[in-house]
Amino acid sequence: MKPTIALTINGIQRSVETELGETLLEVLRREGMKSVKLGCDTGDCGACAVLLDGSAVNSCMVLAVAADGKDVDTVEGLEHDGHLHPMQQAMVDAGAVQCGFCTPGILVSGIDLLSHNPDPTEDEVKEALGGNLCRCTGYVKQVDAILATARLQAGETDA
Amino acid sequence: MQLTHLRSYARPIDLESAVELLSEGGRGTRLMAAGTDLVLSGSDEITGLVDLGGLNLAYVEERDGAVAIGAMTTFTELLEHPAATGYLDGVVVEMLRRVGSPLLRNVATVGGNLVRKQPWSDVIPLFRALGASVTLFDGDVRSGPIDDLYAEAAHLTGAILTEIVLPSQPVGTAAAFWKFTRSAVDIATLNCAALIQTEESGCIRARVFVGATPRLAAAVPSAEAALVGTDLSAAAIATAARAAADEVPTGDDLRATAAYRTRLVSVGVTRCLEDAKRRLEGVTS
Repeated sequence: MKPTIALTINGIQRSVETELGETLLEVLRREGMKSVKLGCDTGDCGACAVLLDGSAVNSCMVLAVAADGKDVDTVEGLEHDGHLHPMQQAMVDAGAVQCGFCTPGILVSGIDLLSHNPDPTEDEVKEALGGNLCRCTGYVKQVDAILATARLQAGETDA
Repeated sequence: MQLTHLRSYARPIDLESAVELLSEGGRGTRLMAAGTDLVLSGSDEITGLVDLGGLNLAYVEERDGAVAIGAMTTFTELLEHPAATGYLDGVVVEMLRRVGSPLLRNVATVGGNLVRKQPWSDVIPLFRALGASVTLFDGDVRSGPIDDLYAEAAHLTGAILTEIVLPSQPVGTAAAFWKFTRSAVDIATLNCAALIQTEESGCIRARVFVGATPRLAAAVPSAEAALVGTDLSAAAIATAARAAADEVPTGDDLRATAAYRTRLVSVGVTRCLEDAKRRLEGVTS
């Protein structure tokens, strides 16, 4: 028997059929969330990171049935009215995207960080990205993009 | 798909039901905390899971200098909690920040780590050095020293770890954690934890644990004995480190050779004890 689980994906409640031994990663991709990348499948690379009840986690390490009833946010939910999320735009502006495979996971880690630490130091950004591997860029531009997003959002709050 | 033989899954909302489901499930049924390690194990032996996520076991409480930790508390929840930050100069936080990355720490639980008994666990050597106690539920509530979980004859079958308590420590006590890894997010090539308690006369209690040898962390009685009664001078620390390197059995695996690990034992024990001593001096001066 295939269990059905309730997931709120990017704010929309869905009833999702799953296999008992499946990971959240597999279910999300089947539901069309292709920003959630299947990288290492062993919790090392961070390409499958999603926000689970607001916290960034590797979706390859979470059993789908155990996520029943939870909120999942992916990069598909970031864009609004045709405008990129400020951090997406900052990644583009900083040239932080090369092959792009790690980018969604990095956005997820960055957004989690700024949600509880709106004014991080460079070291704090690096620690937050500790679980996201990028083989193209060397991380400098992603760190710059997240710091730029923090500055931008602080400016908006001050204004 | 990771757990291809999984046929049943339940998330009970009380401990009694959890114990019942576990015993009814039979041999292939396991308890699951966050499941990070269990899912990756991809074990064909796992046919049923009892998820402990509905039992309200995620909490941290300060109790008269002691810190009570619900078994389902995530690493992130613990390392952000003031009770952990304030405990023995933040030694627990220092250790937790070196476990994996936030993507793991946001979901992996303290109890799951202790019960999975992985040899590279960083939590086990430190919590044993600190003299933690644990509470288990198997129909009755049982409490005892954390060391009981790792005793030769320990059998957890049918029992659920519900709470871990880090005891209140006497004045003059300090602890430290040390870990050697190939990269910031890799598991330990070797790790070490130490606790020292001092009075005017010098060191009166020492706990030294070395893990990922590559076997599960164990106490190092010869190093502990070498410290008690000393003033923790550089010479006393060097003697303890030598004793540890002589005593701790090390082995080869893909991360390091036995000989390399034996060098790491000496370095790790030395640095751990130096750190703990610095902390003591910081407090008393």
